[in-house]
Amino acid sequence: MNEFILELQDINSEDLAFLLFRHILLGSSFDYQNKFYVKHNSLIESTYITENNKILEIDSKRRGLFSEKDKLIILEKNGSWTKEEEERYQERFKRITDLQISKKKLVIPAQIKQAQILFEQEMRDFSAFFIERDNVLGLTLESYVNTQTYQYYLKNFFFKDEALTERLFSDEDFEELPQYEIKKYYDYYFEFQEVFNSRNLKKITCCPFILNTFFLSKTPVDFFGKNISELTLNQISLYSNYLYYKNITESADFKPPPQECYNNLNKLVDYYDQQYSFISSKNNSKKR
Amino acid sequence: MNQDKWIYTFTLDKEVNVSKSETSKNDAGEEITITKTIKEKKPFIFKIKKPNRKIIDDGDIFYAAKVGEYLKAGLLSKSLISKRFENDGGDLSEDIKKQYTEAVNDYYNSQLELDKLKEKEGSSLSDEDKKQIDELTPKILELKNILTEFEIQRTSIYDQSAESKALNKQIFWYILALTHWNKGKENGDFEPYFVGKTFDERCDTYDKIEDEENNNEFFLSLTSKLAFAISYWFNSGNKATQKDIDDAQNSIG
Repeated sequence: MNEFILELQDINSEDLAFLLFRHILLGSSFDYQNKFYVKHNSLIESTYITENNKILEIDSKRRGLFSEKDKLIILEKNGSWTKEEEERYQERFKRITDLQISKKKLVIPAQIKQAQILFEQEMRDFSAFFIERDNVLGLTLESYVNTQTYQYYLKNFFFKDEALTERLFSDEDFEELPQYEIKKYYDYYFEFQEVFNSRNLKKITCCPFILNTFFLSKTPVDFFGKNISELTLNQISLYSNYLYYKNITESADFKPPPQECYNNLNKLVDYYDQQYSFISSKNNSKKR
Repeated sequence: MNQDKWIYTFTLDKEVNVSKSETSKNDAGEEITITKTIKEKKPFIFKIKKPNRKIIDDGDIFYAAKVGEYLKAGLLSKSLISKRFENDGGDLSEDIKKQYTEAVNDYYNSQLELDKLKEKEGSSLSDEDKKQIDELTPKILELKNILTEFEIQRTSIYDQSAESKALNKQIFWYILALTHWNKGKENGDFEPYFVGKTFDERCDTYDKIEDEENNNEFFLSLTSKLAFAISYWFNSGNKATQKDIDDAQNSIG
């Protein structure tokens, strides 16, 4: 992972919060290490990706590619990949996915380390089996569409300029890029999304200066100057966070954060969350 | 970005009809010109284009679709053939396995010895060293051929698999998609030889040329050179250069 992403994954100062706030307002981030701009995803962009995938699926089906399901039926009839082998694969795959999910939920370092060891052990034990399945299955509709999605991201989310008009690679250069290179940009994009994780977005919103600015607006359209359908997913999340903090601060039971919280964004977020729990439980008991 | 546009270039003589005019005087002393059409061999340059990612993607789809088609038609997959051979004790007999291991060891040891001797080359090679180099060089070449034979024997059991059949088709797909020529014009641009937008259209062009050339020496030589160069390049993981392909072709004569 590059330093740019690592540095911003867990922001702890108002300066960094401002930097990301700027990125969110602009709808893109400048990677000062790689010297390119990364466009933030939006609702409308997400629908384009879905549409693009659908078109690719129809086109590749017309060209004779089989879906994973159809290919598995052929392979089973043929004896190349039995039902039992597939069940074993699905079971293992589920186990590894579950391990991955539960690992993400852990917070205690020792538990994370233990979960990582377990995950790596599972991967080691079954990687040969997974590779065997990949080889037998070959290219399918789904795997083809996946690789084409990588290309979509590179073509539509990476730019040379802040106005996002000049693509990082010209059409000609893009066609010459090998698949593994394209995959790198795709992986980068998803690592980069981590910068805008929910915790960071909360930290940005509850920065006093930013939160006060939000209070001046009546609607997201008012704040961002765009229709909601044109907003990026980060802009929508930021505004939702503002509504969350607005509800908390407008409650008669709300107590403003103590001064020391303002020097630590993590403490500030935790304080607001505690206030939310306190206000919610009080409201619930009133209702009862 | 790699700007090498071509994988391989070669020249092939093709018989063409050429009009030749001769001027002479008739009995009445008048100048007359006689134009005859004669057959003449003319060199034609062919180039195999380096495919970009899109062409490679298309080739992969073609291959995957063919594998599925063949499996559906009842051909066995490589993995199934391999499983069956494993149940029967492997794809090579015990004797052959032993010979193969010996040949591999002999090859690597000889190569190591030769490398060591070559490091000394130019500075302190004794007569004994020179004699050893002269013995090792043909030995290594012979061992290489033996190992290739083993490899052919080992892989031949997969010749009828869905994947092998599809691979042959994919090589043909590449031949049709990548072959270019300049129609014999010295400074002419290189254009696709098998004209067509789709694989089916290019196949039609191939059939038409095959009919016209009537399987003559030129056509047989062209298709065999194209198949060799593209197969070699493909099997090298798309890395083989002009020199690699030439060397490989020369080594098999």
